[in-house]
Amino acid sequence: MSDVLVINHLKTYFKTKHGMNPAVDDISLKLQMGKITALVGESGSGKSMTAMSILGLIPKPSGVIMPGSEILFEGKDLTTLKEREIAKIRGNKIAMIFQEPMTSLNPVYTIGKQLTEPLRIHQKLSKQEAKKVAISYLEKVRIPDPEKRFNNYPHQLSGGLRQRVMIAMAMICEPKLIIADEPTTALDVTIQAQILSLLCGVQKDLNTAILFITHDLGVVAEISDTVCVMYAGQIVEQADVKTLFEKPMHPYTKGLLKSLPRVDDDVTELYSIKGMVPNLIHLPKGCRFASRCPEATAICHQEIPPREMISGDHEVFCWLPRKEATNV
Amino acid sequence: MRYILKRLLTTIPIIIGVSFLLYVMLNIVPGDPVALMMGEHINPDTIERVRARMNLDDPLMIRFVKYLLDALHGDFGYSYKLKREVSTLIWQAFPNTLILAVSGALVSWIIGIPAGIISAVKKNTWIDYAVMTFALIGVSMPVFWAGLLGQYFFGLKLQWLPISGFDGLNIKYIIMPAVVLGWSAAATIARLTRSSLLEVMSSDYIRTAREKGLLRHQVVVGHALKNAFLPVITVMTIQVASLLSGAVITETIFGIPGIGRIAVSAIQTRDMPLLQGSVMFATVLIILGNLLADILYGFIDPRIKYH
Repeated sequence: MSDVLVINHLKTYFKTKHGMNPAVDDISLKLQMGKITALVGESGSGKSMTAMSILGLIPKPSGVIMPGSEILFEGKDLTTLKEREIAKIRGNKIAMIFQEPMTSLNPVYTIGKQLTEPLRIHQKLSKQEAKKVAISYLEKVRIPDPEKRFNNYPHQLSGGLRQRVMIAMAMICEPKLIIADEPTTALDVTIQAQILSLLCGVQKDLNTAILFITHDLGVVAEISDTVCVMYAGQIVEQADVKTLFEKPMHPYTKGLLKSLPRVDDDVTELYSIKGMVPNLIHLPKGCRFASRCPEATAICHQEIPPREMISGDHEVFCWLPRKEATNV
Repeated sequence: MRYILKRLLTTIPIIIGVSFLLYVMLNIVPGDPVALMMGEHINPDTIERVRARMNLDDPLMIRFVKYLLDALHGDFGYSYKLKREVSTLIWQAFPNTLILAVSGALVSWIIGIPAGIISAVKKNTWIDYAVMTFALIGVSMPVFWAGLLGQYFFGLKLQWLPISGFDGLNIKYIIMPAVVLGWSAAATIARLTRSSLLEVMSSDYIRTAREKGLLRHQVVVGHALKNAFLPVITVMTIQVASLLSGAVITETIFGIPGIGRIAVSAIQTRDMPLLQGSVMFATVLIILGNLLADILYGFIDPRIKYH
């Protein structure tokens, strides 16, 4: 299995008035060709910032990718590329789909103009050639009457159709990697399912890798191959989807799974993880989850936990496995 | 087209309403126009006769309707002081105001738009601060003061330009009033362009454009400017309309025989028909300016036509 993108020790910090905010703090992960990797976590856990770091779109000058970080793509470290070089990769080899289809398209230009733009800048196609390709992609994402839609403005399309346009735009240069940042969050449930199946179809057609950012574990279970769980800027657990749902190791993952509503369970109130995400500027000394963790012991508050490999590709960032091993 | 026609029709009641208010206000001002016209030592009988001839004894409403009907035929009455048709006086002054307004507007666009874009793109750098300081001075400095400074330095000290006067399209006479007039307008445009562009630059579709692989300057030119111009265009058209209706202070300082000067002298001499005519003229221009802004909006933003 070949790796499309490898992230090593990525640290994206933000300068604030009160100090450095480690939004992404030492993340390592691999994205494989033809696989969907889910990045799960609550708001502010650093998921989107990880995506923005990959594309070099961190808001500057407050955001900084710290030295020692590495994002390897086709033999190049994206963190060291100049603006002009990374612009050639954006939308071409790595494309992105955003959360807000309603506002992600420019209201004053037609769908056609926006859709053909990546082809015009990356592949230098003429207007006519680009139009042909664009219409074929509008068909691929199953937009009815693509010839007519090509000349429509975004406000003439519904949210679901606009997200289809966004997907077509992401696919249009046949990228190696698509980053989907909560692509279905703003859509209603029936449209959500259509968009997800569309995305999976696209992924099979092009054999791209997808980094799927979401906080919806139901979606994760349905589509992804591998799952990374993020908490307070760090990946706390990483495993293939089956293992993660069957044998979660980290107490945070367990909490997330427990707080899912289940159809086969008759509960009146959903489980919730107590407490709040710690302030990233004034982090606790030990594990970042310790203050909310039901299984925390003294060492969790004192020392940063080790990264333990449980099996094959199941990694957990917690003291628990080691404690269990010494108890036995 | 239907949209434009509809907007055009809605201006009619506005014009009638505004002209009515204007007519009433000017008529409740104390002082008898006939006495003013005739001078002090006049026979009361003569005053009565002239009042009757001018229909001044009719009720206000009737006089207003007559005035409006005459105005529709291009007859805005007769100036008692200058002894000429009001419409003739306005049409004679208008070309001068037009020259001044167009050149002032050009100055304001040529300076204001690029300045706003540059300071937005270079946000929080010394360039931004320098441009915005100039803009702040431009907005806060009264036109008469800027005019006097210009006359002192460029007219009196350096003797580059004539201090005042007007000579048709002779550029020497136009430069200084145009810059004085354009500078404060430029300052407004620059500030608005900057804030509008900054707001647009933080929107989701700009992020999409960046993610497609466009470089920052390509995004500004290709995706942001068209959106950012919407509010700027409104202000620009209204500015032009108000410039066209007479830059009262600038025309007075530089001695330009335009609409503004007419209005000022009409006030000074209590020349009611002339004052009314020139203010009506300004009103119609401002309303048409707003209409033009709305139409331009429709061209730039495809969403407008459908509402």
